[in-house]
Amino acid sequence: MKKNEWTFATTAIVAGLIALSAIATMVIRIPIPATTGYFNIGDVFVVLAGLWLGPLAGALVGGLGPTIADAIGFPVFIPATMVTKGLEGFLVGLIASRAQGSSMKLRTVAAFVGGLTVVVGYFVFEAYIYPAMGKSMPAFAVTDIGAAIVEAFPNTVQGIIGAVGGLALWKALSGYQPGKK
Amino acid sequence: MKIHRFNAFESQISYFTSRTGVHLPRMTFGKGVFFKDLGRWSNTYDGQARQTESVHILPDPVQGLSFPRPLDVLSSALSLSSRMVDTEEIYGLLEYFGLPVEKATQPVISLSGGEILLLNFAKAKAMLPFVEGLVACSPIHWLNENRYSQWEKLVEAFDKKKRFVDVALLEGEPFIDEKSVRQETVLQPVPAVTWQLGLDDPVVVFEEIRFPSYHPASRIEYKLDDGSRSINLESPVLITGDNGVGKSIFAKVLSGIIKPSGGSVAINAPNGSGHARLIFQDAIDQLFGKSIDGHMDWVFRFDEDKRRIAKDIYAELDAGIRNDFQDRTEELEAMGSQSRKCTLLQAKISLIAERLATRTPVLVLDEPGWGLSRSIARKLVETVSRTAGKMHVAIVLISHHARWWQGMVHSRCHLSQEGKHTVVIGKV
Amino acid sequence: METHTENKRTFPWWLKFVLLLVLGLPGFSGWPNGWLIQRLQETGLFTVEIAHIGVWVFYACCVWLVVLVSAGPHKLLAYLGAAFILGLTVAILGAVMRGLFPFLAAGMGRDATSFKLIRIFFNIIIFLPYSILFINSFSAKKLIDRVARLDGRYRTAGLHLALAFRVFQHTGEVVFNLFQIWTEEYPEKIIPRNSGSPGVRWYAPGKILVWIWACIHAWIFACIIHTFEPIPAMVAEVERINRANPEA
Repeated sequence: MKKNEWTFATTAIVAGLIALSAIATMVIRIPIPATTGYFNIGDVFVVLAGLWLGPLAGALVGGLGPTIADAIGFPVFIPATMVTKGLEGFLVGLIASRAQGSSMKLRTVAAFVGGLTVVVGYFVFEAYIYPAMGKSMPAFAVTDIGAAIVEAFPNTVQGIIGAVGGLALWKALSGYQPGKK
Repeated sequence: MKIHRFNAFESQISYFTSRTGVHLPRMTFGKGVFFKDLGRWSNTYDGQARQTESVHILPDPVQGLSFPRPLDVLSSALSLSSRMVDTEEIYGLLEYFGLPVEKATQPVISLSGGEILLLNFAKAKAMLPFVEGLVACSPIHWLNENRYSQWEKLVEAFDKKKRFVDVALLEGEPFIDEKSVRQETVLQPVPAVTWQLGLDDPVVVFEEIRFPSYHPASRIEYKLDDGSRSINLESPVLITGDNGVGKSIFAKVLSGIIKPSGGSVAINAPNGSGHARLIFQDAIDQLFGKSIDGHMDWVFRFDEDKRRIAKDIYAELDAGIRNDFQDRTEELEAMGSQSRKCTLLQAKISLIAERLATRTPVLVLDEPGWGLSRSIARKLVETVSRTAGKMHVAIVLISHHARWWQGMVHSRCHLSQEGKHTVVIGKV
Repeated sequence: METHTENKRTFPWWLKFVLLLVLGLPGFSGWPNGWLIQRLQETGLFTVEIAHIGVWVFYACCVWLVVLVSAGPHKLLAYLGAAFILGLTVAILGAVMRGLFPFLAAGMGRDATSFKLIRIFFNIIIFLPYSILFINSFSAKKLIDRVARLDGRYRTAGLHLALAFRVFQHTGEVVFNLFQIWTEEYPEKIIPRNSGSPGVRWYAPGKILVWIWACIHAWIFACIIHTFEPIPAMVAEVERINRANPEA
């Protein structure tokens, strides 16, 4: 596929990745009691989308896939997930699109920036935005700054797993061999 | 019409790719090769037209359908010129190829293999004015003999408009150019295993959601033709029946994948009762994304003994087939390398060996000839039936091609539709 | 044409959408459940926890009743089976996490975390059947019918949408097929079929964990592989349909 060109192949792959990230987020959930949020591996596909197809695809997969999963059981997290994971996919894609050939360096940076986005994004939502929203809409009053600090830990692990998993899948797809650029 | 015949599924696929530019990632090598193939496709994909524009029928016909329902498949194919499509035109096309109009709005996934193939025919006819030809792989393998004429109608339409038809077949595959009935013989008789199938009015219902109500999308009741509750059979048993009658669903009921909504099915065989094991028509999917060796190790990770037995059975089946083809290099090549198992045939042998090692009461092979040449398919079934006979495992073959299995089946059952919802099973 | 007359008998899509949205309101907004809980507490007969659980059970029954009417008893049982397995797994894993990493409770008491886990459990057993019902209540029929007839720029956009729908449908179908294959191989679902080796106790704690991890791993890769397998062929097909459009 030519860089920065949206084709039918891009649509099909993005649709597949949205579905897969929704399923992965939905089925493998380890709850975090403090926030009623949960740890999952859906980020692997968000990072992969950014690395494989660029920022727009990354943003779409991140913004839609895990959000669909949140609708099942954790609807209050929809806004946080849509923004945070959409941004994650977008940033991974943006940075990775500047990488030359099949070089891993910048792609690794991209994947980990994506992981960091998850940690920071959820922290901002859980520590500041949700408590503020909770004042007028009680359904959002599920977190506070203490809970957000606690959840930063599992989110870090989740971010790392997403980045490593996404990179590994991208390597398998690109036929990457160490030493070759 | 140009006909090309191949000894192996893998060569047929390579030909299809070279002719159409459509890449089908390889599934039998395991994850690594699959991902590389997929990555190569996405890297080289440019969306540009090939020199010749053609419509395709893939070996697994469902993969060629890019829209969710028959109605969408046909309306998108008919509207290539952006003109308005009359729904009656779509129904007309479905009926032309013998598909009931109510199938138009059912999801593609709920159709049987043969119905999906017929839908591919309808799509090809709809696209005829906009393409230069048709490239088809094994286009009648999923069809009952009484429906071969549907393919002839399609070819005639392409011929009339001077479009090319390029067919990739496997050696010995049933085809309209083969009118004479070849008598097939088996040198030594296949051992028979006697068993009993009990049917206590099993009913399978598939429901469709229509908020705020639901209704049964389809309902099948299986009954024996003489009104009795059980039937004595001698393995290998051949089950035949028209497309869409419910053969594959019956196989899934026998193997416990689909639980009947009412009634029950019981197996009473020398190895005991319980559910049958099943090899699907598209057996590659049963590797669950693993390589052939990887599958065997995965299934028997907690059972060293059975793993050893399964590997011995694999070796026995493989040797049994190879021995017969000692002086036929083409067939030997088609069987694949013994050091790295990677062909569809080897996947099938591996899945069968695994099931025989568990000493299942009954082993069902759904269209075992799919993706194999006739000589290899016959030899595979014969060798499996012998090994299974020694282990008292009853074999059931589900196939449209009764002629392929001449001389090796001991009983035959035919499934036929009676009324709208009843399928009658009768011994032939 | 039986199917068509039956199609006409169902509600228009917007009415279905509004009705389903109303049914899901408590999940999105917390209303009117929060209000009901407060009223129950004010009676003085219930503690806050019991009031919560009572209201959520009542709400669950309402959702299940709607699923029963719209999808039938077999599907309701199948959805509930999946929902209870997922809900229990999540709640149990949450309890394990609380035990292993007490700091994840952010200083909450044991009862408070237990209550949060119960809430998660209820969310899953209510919203899993609800979401499946929601998705299945709408067919992409109208959209796709129009897509195939659009011209020019919009037609290409429509084809992209239709392809995306087909891939979604295909992924659902992949999970369903893999489930059938898994059932054939492992009728007990989470217990290995072959575990007869002397000295091999698959159920030893370490082995269970390895087995579960291996199963998750196998499922993830099988889902990816089977999702992407037909995509090149599907893309080629839509590409050809698009090329034949004279205005593209």
